[in-house]
Amino acid sequence: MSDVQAIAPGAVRSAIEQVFQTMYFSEAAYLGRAELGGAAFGTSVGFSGDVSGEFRVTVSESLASGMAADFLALEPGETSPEQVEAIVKEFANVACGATLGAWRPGGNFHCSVPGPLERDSDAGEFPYCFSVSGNGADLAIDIRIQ
Amino acid sequence: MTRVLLVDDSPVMRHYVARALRMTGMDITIHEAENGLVAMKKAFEILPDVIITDLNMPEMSGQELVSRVHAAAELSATRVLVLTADRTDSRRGEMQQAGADAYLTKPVTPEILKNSLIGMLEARP
Repeated sequence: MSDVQAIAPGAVRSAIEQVFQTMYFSEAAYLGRAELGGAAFGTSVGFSGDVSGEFRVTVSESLASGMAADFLALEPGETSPEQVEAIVKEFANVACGATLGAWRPGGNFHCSVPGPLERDSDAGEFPYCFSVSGNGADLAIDIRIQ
Repeated sequence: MTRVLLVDDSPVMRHYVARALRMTGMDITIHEAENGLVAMKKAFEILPDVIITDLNMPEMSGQELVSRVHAAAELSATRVLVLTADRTDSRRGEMQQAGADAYLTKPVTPEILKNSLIGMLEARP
């Protein structure tokens, strides 16, 4: 699996911004390459077709909790860990499809069911980071092309 | 009153789409199913006006559900909307061939959902 970032940042940026505006009624500010500090949830979506690879999503715990509350129209703190995990997976699923669609419109891709992603403690910087809270990076995307 | 059957294996996604449907302001009764198999049983019971279905589900996929609904005489008035993260043209074509009346990709806004529902309902014989 190559760590070469073959997907244009513009495609990632427009896809993630659209998903946040539509599903979470909030803005995701693109930061580019950055570090994501603190505890986080990770999930991974494999894709195959015109190009095969893995779409990795890492979300800070606080953002994940906020996303779940927004998505389910609940108050922050009312969501269960299972709901938070399900929301992050659903986000990864939609974000993967949206990103691949923005990158190669009309392309042929199949995305797998989202699975857990063990966070690498030496992950360092992520190639595509966003700030939803406005307090630094809280969402990171990494795309590995096979 | 429009009867809608929501089919998705993700409870949070069903919750989200149900909320989006309520935000349309349409007069809707929402029923839910977690896969195509459960959806077929419910469909014969409630005879929904519209089925909104995901594609990748256990037990019975959305594609098989679309085909079975299309083939069932009792459900000839039921319209099927596929709501999926899959944006590929080939997938869209397969679903149209299977009998889907509309194909929307996530994320979807309540407005787009509403317009699609109205279009499908108005096109019914």
